[in-house]
Amino acid sequence: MTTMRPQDILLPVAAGLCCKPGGFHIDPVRPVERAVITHGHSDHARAGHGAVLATQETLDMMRLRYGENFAGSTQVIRYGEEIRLGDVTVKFHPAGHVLGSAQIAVTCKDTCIVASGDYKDAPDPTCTPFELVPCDVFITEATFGLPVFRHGDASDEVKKLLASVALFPERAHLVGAYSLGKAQRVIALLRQAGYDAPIYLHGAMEAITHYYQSRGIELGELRPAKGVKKAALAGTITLAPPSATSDLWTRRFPDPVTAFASGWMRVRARARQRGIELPLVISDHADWDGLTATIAATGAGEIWVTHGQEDALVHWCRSKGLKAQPLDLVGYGDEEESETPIQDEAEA
Amino acid sequence: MNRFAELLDRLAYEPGRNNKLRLITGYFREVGDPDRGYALAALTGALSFKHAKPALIRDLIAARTDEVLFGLSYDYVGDLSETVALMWPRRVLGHDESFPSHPSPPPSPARGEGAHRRRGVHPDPSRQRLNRAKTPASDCSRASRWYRRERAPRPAPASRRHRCRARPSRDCLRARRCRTRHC
Ligand SMILES: [Zn+2]
Repeated sequence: MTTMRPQDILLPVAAGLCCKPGGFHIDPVRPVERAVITHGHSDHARAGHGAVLATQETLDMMRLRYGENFAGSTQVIRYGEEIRLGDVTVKFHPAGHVLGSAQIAVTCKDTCIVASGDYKDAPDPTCTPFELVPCDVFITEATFGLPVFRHGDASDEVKKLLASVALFPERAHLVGAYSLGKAQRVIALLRQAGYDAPIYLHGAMEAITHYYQSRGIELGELRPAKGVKKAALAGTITLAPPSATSDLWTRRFPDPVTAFASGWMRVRARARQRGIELPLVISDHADWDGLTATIAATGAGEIWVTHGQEDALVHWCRSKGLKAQPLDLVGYGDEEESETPIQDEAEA
Repeated sequence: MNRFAELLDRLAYEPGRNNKLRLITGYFREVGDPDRGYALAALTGALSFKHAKPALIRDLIAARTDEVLFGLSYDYVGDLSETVALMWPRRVLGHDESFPSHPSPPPSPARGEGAHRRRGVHPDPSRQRLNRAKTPASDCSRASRWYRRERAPRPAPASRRHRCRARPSRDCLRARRCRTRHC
């Protein structure tokens, strides 16, 4: 039996990562016949495919965003479940990124490639923790692929937010957070820190946040910010999509403190560029230490690096004696920079 | 000192004068001596760090990090002291340490006599002097520099700026090339 070359199993093409022997694409950016999808963020999960294989949560999120007919047909796969597709087997493992997010292990003969999608190795009360999958080739994201990005403990950042709420009880606190995953994680962290007052939501957050609750994620009492009197919002915390924290919508809040929960907040110029007063370094992507530790721990001899700061991570891999190359995949970004909310923001 | 760094962060981002005063009052109320004394000195410009010059900082980070990774990071961040602070190798320490990412005790006030006494350790003056001369960017020096800069904002040098296509009114962070995701 001969060992397949990795590029015979998975190859980057215009539509995304193509598995020829399996007859599918992973996270395709254009409509394809068969799509295998890592998670529900809009740059990975798009509408219009013939058939979609994904976790229940990812399929539900696609349904919320695109409507019932987002794909010709769908098939649910659970973590740990293995399915044969053509000449390969695919197996889903938790990626720790958002609810339902998965790494996809593709095995052909005796070669195993893991496409990790987006992932983080940090604790998150709203999703299944990242699972390390030993493999021959590891495909990693590089959103925070520079050694300046080290995220620290998210619960310390939430303490900063609560300290600010205590110091400025007459002001409203507006927290910009991506509506799928980040917002629910921030709410769960606030609850873990003992904050039990109602938390207010921008309209664009409601559908997806209620979906999280329907999957058994405890988020405490949530209220729509819409229709609440300005004075009543003093001393409260409201979660909103990042774009909303800098527009007219903020006028309904008393002297708002604008916070933003994002890994980008580690760099001061980034926070200033967005006019943020309270940057909170909370990320759903692995930081530099997480990326490098994960790469080393997979035992993979070959690393493919995609979306983000590929150069630095490829350089690091090579300096550790690993074969590494940037993958030319286009169409993926950081969800915070290109948010397509699940519900129309206009109604909020 | 992390609490002081946090204060400076908030002051830097907070536009309102009264809110700035609230933050400062809150800090002095919450933090005890000697930290708040050093903080007051730093805020009023009474602390100076004559050895912490850019060339020294560059040498120190060069000895601790990969040259290529430093170059890429500096390109991205655009500010030397911030890049060095963010990249400085981490040391695993307890929460009572004031500057966990620093590999050797810096001469910041929280590391001084008071801090050692709190932990029941006798300070070693010779070691402290040595460290004082060697320290690149303790929280304090970094903080006071940042604070000065905040009070008198200076545009980045033209060589470090470029016009972002998507946001022409704002300076893009990238000196070398724009990230497709925001340009
Ligand atoms: Zn994602």
